[in-house]
Amino acid sequence: MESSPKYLDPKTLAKVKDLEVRARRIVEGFVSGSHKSPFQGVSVEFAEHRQYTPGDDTRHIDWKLFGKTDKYYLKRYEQETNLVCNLVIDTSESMKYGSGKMTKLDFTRELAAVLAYLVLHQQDSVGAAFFEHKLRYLIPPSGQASHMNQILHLLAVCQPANVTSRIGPVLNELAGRWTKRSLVFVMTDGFDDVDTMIQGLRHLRHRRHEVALLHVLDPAELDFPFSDVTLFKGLEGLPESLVEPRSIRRAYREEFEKFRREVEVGCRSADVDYMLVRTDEPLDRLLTRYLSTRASRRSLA
Amino acid sequence: MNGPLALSFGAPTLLGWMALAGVPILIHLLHRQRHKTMEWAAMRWLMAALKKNQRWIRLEQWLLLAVRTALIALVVLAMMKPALEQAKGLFAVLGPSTHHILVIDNSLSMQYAEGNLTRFERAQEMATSILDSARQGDLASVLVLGSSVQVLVAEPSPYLASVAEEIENLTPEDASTRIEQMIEPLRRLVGQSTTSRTRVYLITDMQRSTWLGEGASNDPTELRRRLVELAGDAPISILDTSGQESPNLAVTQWQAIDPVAVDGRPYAIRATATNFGQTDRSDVRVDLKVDGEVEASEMISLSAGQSKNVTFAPSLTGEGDHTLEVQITGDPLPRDNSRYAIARVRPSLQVLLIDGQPSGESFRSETDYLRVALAPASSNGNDATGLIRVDVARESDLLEKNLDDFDVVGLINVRQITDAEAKAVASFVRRGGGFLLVAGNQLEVDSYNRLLGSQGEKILPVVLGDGVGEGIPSGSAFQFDPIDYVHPLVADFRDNEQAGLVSTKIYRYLKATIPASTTENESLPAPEIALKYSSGDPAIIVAPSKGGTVAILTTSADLDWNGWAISPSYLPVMQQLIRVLSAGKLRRPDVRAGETFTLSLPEGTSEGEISVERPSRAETAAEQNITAIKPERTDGVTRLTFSSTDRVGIYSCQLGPPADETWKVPVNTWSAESDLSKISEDELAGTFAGWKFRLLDRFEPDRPMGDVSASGSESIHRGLLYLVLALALVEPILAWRFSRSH
Repeated sequence: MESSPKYLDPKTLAKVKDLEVRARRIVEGFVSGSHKSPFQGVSVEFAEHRQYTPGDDTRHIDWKLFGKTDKYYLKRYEQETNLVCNLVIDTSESMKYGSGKMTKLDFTRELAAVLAYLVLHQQDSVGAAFFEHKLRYLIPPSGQASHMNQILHLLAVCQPANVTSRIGPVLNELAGRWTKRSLVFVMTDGFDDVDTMIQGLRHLRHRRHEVALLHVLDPAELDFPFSDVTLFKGLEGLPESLVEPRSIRRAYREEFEKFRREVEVGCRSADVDYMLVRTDEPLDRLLTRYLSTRASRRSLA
Repeated sequence: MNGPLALSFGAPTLLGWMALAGVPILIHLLHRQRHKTMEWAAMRWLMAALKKNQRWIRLEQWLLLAVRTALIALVVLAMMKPALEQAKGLFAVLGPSTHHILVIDNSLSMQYAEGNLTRFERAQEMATSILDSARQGDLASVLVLGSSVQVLVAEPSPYLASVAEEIENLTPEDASTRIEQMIEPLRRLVGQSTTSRTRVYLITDMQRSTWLGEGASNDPTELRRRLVELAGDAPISILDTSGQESPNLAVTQWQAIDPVAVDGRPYAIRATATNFGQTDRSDVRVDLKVDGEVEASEMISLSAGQSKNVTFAPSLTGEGDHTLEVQITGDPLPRDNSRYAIARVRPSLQVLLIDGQPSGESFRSETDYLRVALAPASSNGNDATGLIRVDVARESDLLEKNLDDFDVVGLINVRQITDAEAKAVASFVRRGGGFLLVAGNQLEVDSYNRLLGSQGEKILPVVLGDGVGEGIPSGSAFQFDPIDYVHPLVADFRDNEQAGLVSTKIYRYLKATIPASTTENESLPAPEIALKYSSGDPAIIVAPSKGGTVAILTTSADLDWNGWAISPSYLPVMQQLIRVLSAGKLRRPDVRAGETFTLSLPEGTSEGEISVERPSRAETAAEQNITAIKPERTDGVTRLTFSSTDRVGIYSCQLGPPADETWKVPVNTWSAESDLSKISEDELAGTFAGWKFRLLDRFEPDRPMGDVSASGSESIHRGLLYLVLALALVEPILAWRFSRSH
C-alpha cells in the first residue's frame, strides 16, 4: 500500500502508542485483559489472579485472598472477547474543505488510521464504512494484521464525492447490518439534517452499539476569521455569495454555534459521546482528550 | 415660506475637486471587485447570517459611505468659499436659530410718498418680508424709532406672525428721530438674545439729519464708537426705503409779529416756506386758515433750496383761542405742508400797577405818567385805544388782588417787597404772568435781591445795586443807547431819531448787574438788554422767566430821575413793553412733534383729570384721540404735562372750573425732518469709520442679509468646517460601532 506511510506517521504513532483506548462501556470483551467483558462473573470461568495496580476497578478485588495474603489481587476470567470497533467516515463534498494544510477529510483519514492501528495493535477487531449520500464501502471488522492494509488502502483512495451527505439514512442502514455490538466512531462534519442524523445515531444506540460522534470541523468554519471581501462558493450544490466577512462574522458564528450545539445536545440525548474535533488540533492531544473524557465518564458511571 | 436654494462661490474654479467626493464610492466598488474566491462548506449558516443581517449591513455601509463622501464634499465646498444666497438655505437649515432685531424708522420723513406707498409702508413691507423669510425657530424683536424709542417687541418672540401683525398695525409718527436713540435699547436687546446668531435690520430712509443731526457741529465720534461696538455683537444691515429724488416743500417757521392778539385788530404773523428739492417751484400757493377757514392766500415761487417769508395780518374776532394754519400746496410729504399756531384773542390787556408813592395831586403819584402812557385818554376822556386797561393800587393791596385777573403786574417804586408778596408775584410769573419792576427814589434793593433773586424766588434776572448819577450836573446827564435797535422793544425807533428816545436825559438810575449764574443757567434764556444808558449800564432788561416774563426798568417811571415820561418815545416803548410782558400769559408753548408740553393752569383750577384731545386721524377712532391727564402742583403752580405729541396739529385741553375753557396747543413738525437729503453709503462709511454695515435698497430673501463680509460667505464657510469636523468625529465612531456590533 503506497499510502500507508502517509497515514501511519511514525511520530504520531509513537506519541499515541501508550495511550489507552478505553471505552466507557465495555462492549463484548477484552484484549489481553485490557477490556472487560460485560458478562464477567456470569458466563465465564475464573482463570488467574493479577496483582492490583492503582487505577484498577476495586470491585474486582478478591477480598478472600486479601484476607489470606494481606495483598490485593484482582480476579481474572477465562472467557474474554475482542473489542469490535467500526469507523464510519464521511466522504461527502463538504469534507474536502480545509483552511489549512489539511482538509477535513485528510484529517479524518489520519484520525481513522490511528484509531484502526490502535485497535488492531490491541488485538481487537476493526471495521470501516465510507459514505456520502449513501454507503460507498463497507469493510467488516477483523482482528488480523493484514486487515489494516485494506483499511489504509481505502482511506488513501477515497475521494470526496460531489454530492450531499445523508448521514441519517446511512447510519440506519449500518445499524441494520451490524448485528454484533461494537464501538462505533462516526467521523463527520455533520453538514446534514441534524434531526435525521441524530435519529440514525439513536438507531445505532438502540442496537446496543457504543457510539461516539467525532464532529470534524475546520477552525475557519468555527471562527470565520476572514477579513477581505470574499466570494464564497457553496459546496454540495449551495449557491455562491460575495460577502464582507467582518460585517457578518458575529451573525455567522451565532448561527454556526447554534448548529453545533444542536448536534451536541442531540448526541447527549441519544446517549452518544460527542467530541468536537478541530482539524488544527494535534492528533495525540485529541486522543488524550477523548480518552480522559471517556475515563471520567466511566468512573462517574 | 420656503424658497429655492441658491449658492454662489468665491472660488468656483475649485469645483472640479468635488470629484474627490466620489473616491469613497470608487474605493468601495474596487474593494468589492478585488475579492477573493473560496469554496465554502458551511454555506447554509453563511446564508442564514446574511439573511439575518443583510438589511442592517447595507444600511450601515451606505451610511458610512455617505459620511465619507460628505466629508470630502464639504471640505471642497468650504474651500470654494460658498455664499448662501437664501436666508433660509442650507446654513439656515443646519445652523442655529437666529434672533432678528428689526429697527424701524418712524420719523416724519418716512411718510414721504413714492409711488403708491410711503417710505413707512415700504418699511413695514420690508419688515414683514424679513419675518416671512425667517425659518421656524427664529426669534424676533422690534424697535420703533420715533421721538423716543418704542420697544414694540421686547422679549425675543418666536411668534413671527404676531410680530408681523404688530408691525402692520404701527401708525406713522410726525416726530423727529436720531440714530443715537436706538443704540442703548438695541444693545440691551442684543444682550438679551438667547440665540447664538443675532441679526439687526435697520429700516430707514437714510435721512441725513437722522444720522448727523441738524447742524454740522455734531461730533460723531461717540456715535461711531458705539456703532462699532454694537456691530461687533451683531451684524447690522441697513435697508434704505427712500427713492432717488425727494422734492419737498414745507412751512418751516411761524412767527407772530404782534406779540398780542387783540379782538377785532389785525394780528400780523410771518411764515417761512422752504423748497428742499433740487428743482425750482413756481406758483406755490400759500393759504392762511383761521379756525379752519381760508382767510388769505398768496402765490409764491421758490427756487431750489430757497426759503421765503410770507406775511399775513388776519383780523381776529371773538375772545379765546383761535387756530391759525399756514398751508402750502400739496406734495409727497403732506404733514410738513402746514404749520399751526394759536392766537389767544383778548379784548384788552389787564395791567395792575402798584404805586409806591401815591399822591392825591395830579401827576404827583409814581404811576401817573405810566398809567397815561399805557391807557391814554382821548380828548373826550374815554379810552383812546382800549388795548390796555390799567388798575392802580396801593402797596398794601397787592396781596388782596387776584393776580390771575391781570396779564401784567408792575411794582413802581415800591420801597420793599415782603416775603408773601414775593411768593405771590413769583407764582404769578410762573403761571405765565408778566412782572414789571420800575426803580425809584425809595426802592430798597436788598429786599428785591434777596426775595426775588437767585437766593429767593429766582425770577429776578439781575442784581440791583446802588443808584448812579446822584448829584451830577444837569449838563452831563445820561442818555439812552438803543444798542442798534436790535430788540423788538425799540426796533421801531430805527431811523426815527426825532422820536426822542436817544435824546432823553436820564439823571439817575439803579445799577443792575447780570450775574454769571443767570447767564449760565441753561434752563432759562439769558436776560436781554433792550435798552441801556450811555454809561453802558442796562436800562431795560427783559427776561423770560419760569412761564412768564420779567422786565426791569432801572430808572423811574415819572420825572423824578429823568425826563423820559414827557418824551414822545415813552408811550410806544411802555406799551410795547406791556405787550411783551403779556405775551407769556397769552402764548401757547411752541411744541415740536414728540416734545412734551407743559401748561401752567390758572390758580384755583381743579386738580381733577383734564382731557386732552389729540389731532384726529382717519385710521383712529375719535375716542382713541382723547387722553385724560391729571395735572400736578409744584412750586405753588398747577401744571398740565402732556407728552404724547407724536402727531402735528392742534391739541385741545379741556380745563374744568373755574376757568372752564379750552386751551389749544399747536404741535408742529421739525424743520430738519422736511429736509430729505440723504446720507450716502460712502459718507456713512467715512463718518463712522470702522463700522461694518451692509446697505441695501431692498430686502432680498435669498441673500444672507446678516453677513457683512465682502463675500457674505463667512458664516457658511465656518459652518461647513464645523460640519466637516463633526463628520470627521462621527465617521470613526460609526465605523467602530458597526464593526463592534458585528
